[in-house]
Amino acid sequence: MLTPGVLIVLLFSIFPLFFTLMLMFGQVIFSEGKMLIKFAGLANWQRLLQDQRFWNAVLVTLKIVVIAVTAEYVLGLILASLLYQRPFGSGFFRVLYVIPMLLTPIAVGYTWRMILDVGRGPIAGLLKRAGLSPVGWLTDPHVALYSIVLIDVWQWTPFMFLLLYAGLEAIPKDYLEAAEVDGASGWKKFIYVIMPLLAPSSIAAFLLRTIECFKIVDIIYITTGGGPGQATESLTLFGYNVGFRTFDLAYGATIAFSLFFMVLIAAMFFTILTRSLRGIRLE
Amino acid sequence: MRRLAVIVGLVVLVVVSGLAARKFEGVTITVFTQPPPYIAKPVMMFAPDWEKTTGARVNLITAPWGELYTKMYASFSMGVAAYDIVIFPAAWLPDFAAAGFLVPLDDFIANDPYIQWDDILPVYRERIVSWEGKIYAVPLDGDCHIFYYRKDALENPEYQAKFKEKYGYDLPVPPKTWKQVRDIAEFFNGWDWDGDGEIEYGVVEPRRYAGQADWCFFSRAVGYVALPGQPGGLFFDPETMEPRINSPGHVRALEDYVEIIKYGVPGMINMDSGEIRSIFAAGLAAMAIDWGDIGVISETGEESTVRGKVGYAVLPGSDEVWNFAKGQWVKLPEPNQAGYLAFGGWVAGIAHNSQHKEAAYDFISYLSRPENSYVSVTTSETGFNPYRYSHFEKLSGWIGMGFSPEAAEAYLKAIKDTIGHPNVQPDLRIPGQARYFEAVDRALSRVVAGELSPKAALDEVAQIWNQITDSLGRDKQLLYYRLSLGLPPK
Amino acid sequence: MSTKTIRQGLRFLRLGSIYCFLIAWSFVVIAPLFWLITTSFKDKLDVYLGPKFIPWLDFRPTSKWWVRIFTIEKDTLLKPYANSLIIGSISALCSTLLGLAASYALTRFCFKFFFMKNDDIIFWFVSQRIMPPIIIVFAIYSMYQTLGLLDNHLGLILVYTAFNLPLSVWILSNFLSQLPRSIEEAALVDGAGPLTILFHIVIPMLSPSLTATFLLCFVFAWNDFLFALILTFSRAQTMPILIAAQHFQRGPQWWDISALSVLAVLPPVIITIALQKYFIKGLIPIGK
Repeated sequence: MLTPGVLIVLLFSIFPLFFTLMLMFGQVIFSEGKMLIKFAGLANWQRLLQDQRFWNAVLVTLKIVVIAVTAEYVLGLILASLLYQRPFGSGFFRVLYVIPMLLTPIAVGYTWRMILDVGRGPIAGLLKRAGLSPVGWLTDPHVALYSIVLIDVWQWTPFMFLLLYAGLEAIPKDYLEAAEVDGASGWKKFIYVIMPLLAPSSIAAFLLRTIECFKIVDIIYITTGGGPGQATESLTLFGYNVGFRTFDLAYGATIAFSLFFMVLIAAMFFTILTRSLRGIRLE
Repeated sequence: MRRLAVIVGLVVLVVVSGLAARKFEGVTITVFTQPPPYIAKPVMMFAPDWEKTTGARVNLITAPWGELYTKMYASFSMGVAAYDIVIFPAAWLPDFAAAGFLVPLDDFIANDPYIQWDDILPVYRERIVSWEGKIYAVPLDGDCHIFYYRKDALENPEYQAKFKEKYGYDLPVPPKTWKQVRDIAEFFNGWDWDGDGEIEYGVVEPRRYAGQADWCFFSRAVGYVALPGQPGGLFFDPETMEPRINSPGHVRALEDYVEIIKYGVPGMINMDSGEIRSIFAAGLAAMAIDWGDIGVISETGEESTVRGKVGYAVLPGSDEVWNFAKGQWVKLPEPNQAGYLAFGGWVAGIAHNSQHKEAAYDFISYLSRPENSYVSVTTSETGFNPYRYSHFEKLSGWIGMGFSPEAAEAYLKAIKDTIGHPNVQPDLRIPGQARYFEAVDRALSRVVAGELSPKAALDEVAQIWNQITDSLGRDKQLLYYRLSLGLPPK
Repeated sequence: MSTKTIRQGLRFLRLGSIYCFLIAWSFVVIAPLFWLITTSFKDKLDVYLGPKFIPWLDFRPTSKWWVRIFTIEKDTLLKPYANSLIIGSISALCSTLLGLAASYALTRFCFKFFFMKNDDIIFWFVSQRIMPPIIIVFAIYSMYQTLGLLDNHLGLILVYTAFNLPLSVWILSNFLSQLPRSIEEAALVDGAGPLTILFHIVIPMLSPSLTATFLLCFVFAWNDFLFALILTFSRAQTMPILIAAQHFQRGPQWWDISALSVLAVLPPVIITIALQKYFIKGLIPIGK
């Protein structure tokens, strides 16, 4: 029963992994119409660790992930808590809030590129009418990164919202009633009863969203292309640019693998957190 | 008996002529290029007729611009070609030809009565599609950068008077130096000079990374570094293969390139070469640099508000030129303007591992022959710009497209003057071109964002260029570079 | 004022502030969508010449782009739409079913693969999701080239199945591990084999989770860009690629992009509305 699933994932992970390892430690040469890989040891890795562009991409990616995922969590939590109280029309809100997540990231990129356009976007128009000076949302090196965060938050808060809402729904009502009987209500109930019970869902949400956010590329590619300069070049985009614009596959593979490494560490961190929490909760 | 013989004879005649007319019956050739309309549209336009005459089938496959190089490479390295015909930028020809990916076409062309090889402008047929003495592709498109300006702005006498007051010299129409362009841009920036209620700006040029801004930069550099009589000013020293990308001429061009953003359409640094065309055609800027597309869009596009108001000219240059031999600036009495064959144009080649080489050549020839290519370059949205003498002689096609006779003449004159310029500079045509340009493209975007100074950035590029040259073999690169400039090997 | 009135007043205030926030966020969600939809009805010049907000007030809406998509461009449009639907639904189905099989096995039987026990195997599945597609993409490209799987439906279906399987395993194994075994054990005692138990007992209990998994896998496959970009040329082109291809030599064709994006978002939205109830129920035990 397990075999078909394992087999298919194996097929798509073993060979690519092997291929990437070969590329990482080698150099690609084209001669007589064929692609050859020559062994080059740690040359690619040496180059990577000394490459200022790499460290810039790491910083950009980390900034985006930390700010965006945190913001998405907070907003998702607020929305989930509010809708948990089932105000009138919550069914409609629930569906509406999910929509940004269903749009293809390419479309989201183009939409926001229009909206944040310095001269012709609606925000620029509103600023002008209010008499304020225009802001280079995508063209100012100091602002561009935060615009990317904004777009990511707009698109992926629904993801957090859904997971946290489900988590809230899963809390047995007796726990909450018991807490109220004990005198806790409002904020106290939230912080001391709900949040701990929500912890597993929170961590799972963080884990899944962080993994995805590390790989951010589509939105950046469409809106700023990594610019201005290097201000928004994430690791995946860096790898894409190197791999596709110069066809330096070996270096591109090295970059991609370093990203894999970083995400793996983050994932392991969250998984260990989950397991230790599971241990704690057994009392 | 007689009657029977006649009937048999007729039948045989019909059968034989039927067979002869459909010479590629049953053959399917695959053509690969970027998605329609640009570049692919002519293929779609002419395939049906060609299919009817030859009995073959044309299968058009496309991939987005960013994927073309990768996918062509992949197809060339397969056992049997996925694509028989590849339509690609001429700049990739050295890489493909040197690696043995393309079929030499000299014999095909010699035996082809329709292609009229001599009708193609020399600069395209000799410099763009040949490699080590053989021809590897057929031009389908001629590329060069020209300069665009708004006649209703620059030729307005009231504005000209004000300009003279402010800057102390007559407003040159068209401008001949980049310094003049800067002054004009500053003058026309940020106010409504065409009375339509919208604010206009000085220039619009591409600045976006991976948005073809590097060609815009080289267009601006060419006047500073291409001294007549000193070949190779733009890229490398033809004696030593030392990069010239960080020469004082290039640095000054880069400084202009950055400074003019102040007087350009807001958000320009995020725009690629495609977007600026529509912006100019919508009437938002006084000047622009581009291939021939702005002309077509401005005179015939539905998003154009500037029909009939556009002036066309050769790229401005500079009266101070960097003299490489002497290592110093020289001042010239007349501004040095040079044409720049940016990009080289789209060309069609046959894959070495194609199984239908004759059929492939036949179709390419069909696309390129004078009558058909004239239709291609005078139909909107084909992306093909003129490259044959015959394209410039007849105006009817241009007028049919929507150009006024005056506009057509001015447009074609600018292109012809550029291509035929005595000091015309070809684009870089050696293996690794994509890598050399990628280094420049990155440096440009970093300088524009204020992360690096022009000199520091270009010095870095020079270093990277040396690394690329060494990794590809310095002597070989030097040889190829000299050949691309029309110089004999050392 | 009685305590009752004060309490009622506070409740109003609370409700009011709840709605304030909900409506504010609704605005945040709707505004960009509004811009997207209205842009698909704008003339080219209405886009290039400054922001035009309200149809009929600031600009005259035109339906020509929509008309063109459904008439002239019908062939270019219909194929990617159909491709996306076929590839998306089949790969989501496969991911869900294979994920069900794998998670059922992992939560009901004991496995030991070298040093990896059940929990580790599940983590290995999830770690496949961590692999940045960009690593995989070149390798799969050369793999497919040899196998002849480039530019056809099967190739993409396999890739998406493989890459959404981790998601499916993660969600389903979480739910399965919470399911009370008592019912299954009772059935075992009654003499039912594992397959019978699976089909007649577990699956019905699992249907909310299965629908949720299917939806998520579908959305991820429907919206993928990188794999579709590299592994297809023209026959198996999907919607995201079509949208990106509207970036012509004239710059982004905002109106076409907007219209196509609206079209592209309809199937996921419709499926979400239809499966709303199941979606929430299905994800509940995640993380427990």
